[in-house]
Amino acid sequence: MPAEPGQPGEEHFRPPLGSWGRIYALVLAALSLEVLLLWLLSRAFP
Amino acid sequence: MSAIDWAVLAGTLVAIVAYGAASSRRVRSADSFLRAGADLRWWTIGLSVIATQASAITFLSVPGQAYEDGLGFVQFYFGLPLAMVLLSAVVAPVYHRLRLYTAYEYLEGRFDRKTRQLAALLFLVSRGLASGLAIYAPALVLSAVLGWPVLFTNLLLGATTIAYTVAGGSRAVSRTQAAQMAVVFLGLVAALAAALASLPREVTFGQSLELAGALGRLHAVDPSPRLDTRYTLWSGLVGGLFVQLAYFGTDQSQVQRYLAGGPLSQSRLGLLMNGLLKVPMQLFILFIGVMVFVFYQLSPPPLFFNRVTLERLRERDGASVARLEGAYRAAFDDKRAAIDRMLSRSSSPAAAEAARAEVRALEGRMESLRRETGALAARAFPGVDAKDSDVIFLRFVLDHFPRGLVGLLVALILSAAMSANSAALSSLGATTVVDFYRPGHPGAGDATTLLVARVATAAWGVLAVLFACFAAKLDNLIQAVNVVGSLFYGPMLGLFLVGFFLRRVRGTAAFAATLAGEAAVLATAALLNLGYLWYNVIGCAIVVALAAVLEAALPPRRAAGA
Repeated sequence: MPAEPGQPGEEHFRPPLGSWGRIYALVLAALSLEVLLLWLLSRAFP
Repeated sequence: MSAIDWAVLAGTLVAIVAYGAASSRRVRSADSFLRAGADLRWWTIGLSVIATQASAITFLSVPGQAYEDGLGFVQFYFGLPLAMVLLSAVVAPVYHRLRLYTAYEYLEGRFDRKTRQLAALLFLVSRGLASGLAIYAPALVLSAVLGWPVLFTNLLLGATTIAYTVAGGSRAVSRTQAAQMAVVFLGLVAALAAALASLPREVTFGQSLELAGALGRLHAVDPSPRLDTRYTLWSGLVGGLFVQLAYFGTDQSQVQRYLAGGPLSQSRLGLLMNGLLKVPMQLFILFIGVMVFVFYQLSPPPLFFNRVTLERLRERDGASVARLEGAYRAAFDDKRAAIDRMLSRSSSPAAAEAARAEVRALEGRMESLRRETGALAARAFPGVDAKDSDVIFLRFVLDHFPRGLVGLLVALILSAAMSANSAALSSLGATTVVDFYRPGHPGAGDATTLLVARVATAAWGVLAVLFACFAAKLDNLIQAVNVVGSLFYGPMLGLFLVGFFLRRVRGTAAFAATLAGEAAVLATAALLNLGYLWYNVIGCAIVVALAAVLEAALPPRRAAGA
């Protein structure tokens, strides 16, 4: 339950990353690949 | 539009609204009205998150933007996958753990009620005005191209959206959004196929790319460090990250989509699905615009894509229009011959390069003639838009798409408008009830709260339609709304980041830093020439720094009692 106003509890702050790290890495790898491919496309047609 | 188009359009819209209405049968409590429902799976949440961001204007103006500037706008979305990871790791778990209905509730538990209601009020004002514009803008374009009265389009969009949003609440919004996105994805694939099919047979796909590339339309990534260029790799990654964090993390129209009430893992997967799909989806829409551009390199484009305005101008000043059209057509014919030389395999490399330079110069000449026409129209008819880029795609669809597909594309645009608006109305109603009504009426029963939520949602819908109806008379206000919207996200994100990461900071320091940060962003916008994505970074940084400094400077007792 939320803490009283002015008295934030531990639940108001960042939790540990847990086992989701690998899925996050996948999303970031997909972004890196997309940016790289688009950069190569831009270089191909300067 | 033909009878088949009308049948496709009407059939699609009736099916979507009926599906939305059917989803409302399970709404028996305020909780099920304000949250989308614990049984929603991650793909429904993900589609709903995507649909909320993709308004009708996305599909109308993004292809036009690619026609004029190429793929560079895709950089705006580079920060989005980063933002989805951060939200999924930090924000969604906190909101879930606290069992929140709105993002602003977090601020009361973390700081105090005045900070919560300040943030909620800023949201209501900016989103309320923006939802009026989100009805008006597509209505204006559809009316200009299809000849429908703007009032009719406003009422059609407003009434259907209000009906199923008030009946079914957040659940109906999420479920209809999934159906609406199916129409949108189907329409986009059909649009690209039709655009490719409309290219002359003698031009290969590779030659289309070569032509688009020669005219700068495939330049997707700009790694230059310039701060005054609107879209670069860095403004997209850094500025875009801040915009998307603010939008998805603190704007209730998005927070409500992934706080569906079910398991946290479904919310996280929904957000990450958005992170994976968004950049390819925007690239796809931009690429459709690039292919439309290629089409009009090979077939004569109209002098001005807004045909209603062009015909009015022809009646007023026929001689000028005839002169411009003559010069435009001559430039097109010369350019077409140069394109043939450029793409011909028998041309020597030097001849192909010379032809490429000629194509670029003639395209520049045609662009300046089109701009001259727009300027002439704006001078002749005060209030008429000198730019026609928002109608390019719809004009192309109406002139060159097969029967049936035109109806599907108009259905796509109306679906997108309804889906973004239904999320806005639902979140406005929820924020009104949860952040303002409930705190003042702690003893209100569930049935009363549900009734108030429905009335509030309907009232915001009526306000949005009224604003849309009067928007044409409030031209300066529209610009103000757009500017204020982009100026407001930075401080809001700063406030939430202070909440999540600066444990020592209490309510009074956070509240004062938010107000001061907002003022500083407004001053920066007025005094400096910066790409607008950077305002979000500046606003956020000022609030975080100022909150830390103020907390240290405030007397301990006052800080503790804030």
